[in-house]
Amino acid sequence: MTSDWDNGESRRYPSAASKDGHEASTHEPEEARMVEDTPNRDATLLASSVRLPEHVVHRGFAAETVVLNLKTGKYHGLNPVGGRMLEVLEQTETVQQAARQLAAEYEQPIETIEEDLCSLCADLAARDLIETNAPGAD
Amino acid sequence: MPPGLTEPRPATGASDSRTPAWTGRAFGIDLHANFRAAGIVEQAGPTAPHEDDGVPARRSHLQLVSDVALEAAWPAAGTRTLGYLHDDEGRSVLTIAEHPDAGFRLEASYYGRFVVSADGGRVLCAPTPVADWEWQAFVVGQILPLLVVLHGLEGLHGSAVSFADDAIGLVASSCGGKSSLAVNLVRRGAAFAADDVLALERDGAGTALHPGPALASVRHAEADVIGPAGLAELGTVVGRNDHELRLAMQRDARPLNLAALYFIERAEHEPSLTIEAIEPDPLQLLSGSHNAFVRTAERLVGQLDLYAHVSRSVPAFRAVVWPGIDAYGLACLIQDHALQMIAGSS
Repeated sequence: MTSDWDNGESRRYPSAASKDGHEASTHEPEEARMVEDTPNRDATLLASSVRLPEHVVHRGFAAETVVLNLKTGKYHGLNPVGGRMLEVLEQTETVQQAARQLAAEYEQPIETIEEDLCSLCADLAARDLIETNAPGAD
Repeated sequence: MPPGLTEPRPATGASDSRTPAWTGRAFGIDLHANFRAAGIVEQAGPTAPHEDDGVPARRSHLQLVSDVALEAAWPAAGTRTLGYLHDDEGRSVLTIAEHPDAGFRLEASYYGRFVVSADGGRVLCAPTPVADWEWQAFVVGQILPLLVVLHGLEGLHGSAVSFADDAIGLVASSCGGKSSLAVNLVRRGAAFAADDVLALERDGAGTALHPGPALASVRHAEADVIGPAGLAELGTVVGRNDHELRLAMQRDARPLNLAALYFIERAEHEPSLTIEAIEPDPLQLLSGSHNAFVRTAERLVGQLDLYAHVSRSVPAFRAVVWPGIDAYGLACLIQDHALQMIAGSS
C-alpha cells in the first residue's frame, strides 16, 4: 500500500474505509483488508468512548501504523489516515469528538468522517484491538 | 549413564570448564568461553578487551560440557516445545524447547544440544562429533542470535559492511546473495561487520549496529570467482563443506551507526541495476527478524519499537538487480551509492 499523503499545503483525504491495510503474523504473513467500504453511522458508537486494551500497542512506521495484539501475536496495518484516526480516538472522549477534529484536519464533511470512523471502530473491535464504552455503560 | 549420552568429545582448545579462558565480542555481547572458537572467542584470558569502552555490559558465558552435564541442567518436567525443523524426508533436524526458569534448549541432530539460560547469561554446548567449525557455525547461526534477543537487542536477517563508523545493512531473501555482496564490498575496501544477522539497538536518534562474529560464509561458486589469492587477502579459511567455506575475517567489534538499509531484489528481466529510496514495509522488517520463537510481550513491544524507529530514521533503498550482474559488479554500484549517501548526510 502506498502512502496517500500529499506534501502540498493541505492533506488529501483518502477515505480510510476504501484503503487496503495488511494483517501480518511473524509466522504466517497474510494480506487482508482492514476495513470494508460499508458506510455506517451508529449513533451509539458515535457517543461512545474508545480505549485500547492493555494487550494492544501501536507504533508509527514511515508509511503506516502497525497495531500489535499481544494476545494473538498478530500485527495489523493501518494506512496513514487510519493511523491518525486511531491516534485521535485515543485522545478524545467520544468518537463524535474525534470525528469533529478529523473533519477539521482533513477539510471533509463530518458525515463522511463519521462513517469512516464507525467502520474503522467496528473493524478494530472485531479484532479485539479497541474497547468501546457506550454512554452510561459504566 | 542414560542411553544415548556420551562423555564430552575432545575439542580444540578446550580448557577447564570452570575457567573462561577465551573471550571475544559479537553482536555487542562480551563472550567468555572455556573453549577457543575462531572468529568468536579467540582472545586468550578471562577479560574481554572491550569491556571498558563505554558500551553497556552484556555478558554471556559459553561452556563446552558433556551430554550428561547438559541433561542434568535441563529439567525433566515443565518444558514445552516451541518448534521443530524437519528435513525433506520428514526427519527432525532441530527442536527448540523452553522452560520458564531453565531457559531454552536447542537440539540439532547434526550439531548437538545446547541450553541457553533464560537471561542469556549462560550457554551450555554439548556438540556432536563433527568438526569444531561446524558446530560452532550452529552457535553463530542460532545460539548467538538468541542471545541477541535475550540481551534486549534485535536481530534482522542481513549482512553488513562499514565505511569508517557508518554501516550499511544488506537485506535479501535466503540465498539472495547478501553474503557474497558483503564479501565483495570488503574486497573493495569496506570493513566487514556482519554475515546473516544484524544486531540492532536504538541509539538516541540513530540506530546502532553491533558487529557480529568475524566470520563469513562464502559459497564455492563465489570463492572460485574470487580465487585463492583474493580469499587469502580476505581472511583465513577455517572450514568448508559441500556448499560453502567458512572465512575468518578482520572485524572491529565496536558498535557502528546504521547509515542505510539496502533491500536486494533479483529481477527476471531488469536490464540494469536500479536503486531507489523506499519506505520499508513494516512486514518486511518484522518478518525479517532472526528469532521468531521468543514471543514475550516485552520482546514483541521492543521489536515493534525498534523497527518503527528504524523505519522512520534509517534511509532505506531497494536495489533491483539484474541476474547477469556478478557480486563484484553489484558491490561497485552499492558502494558508490552508499558513499554518496553517507557523504550527503554528513
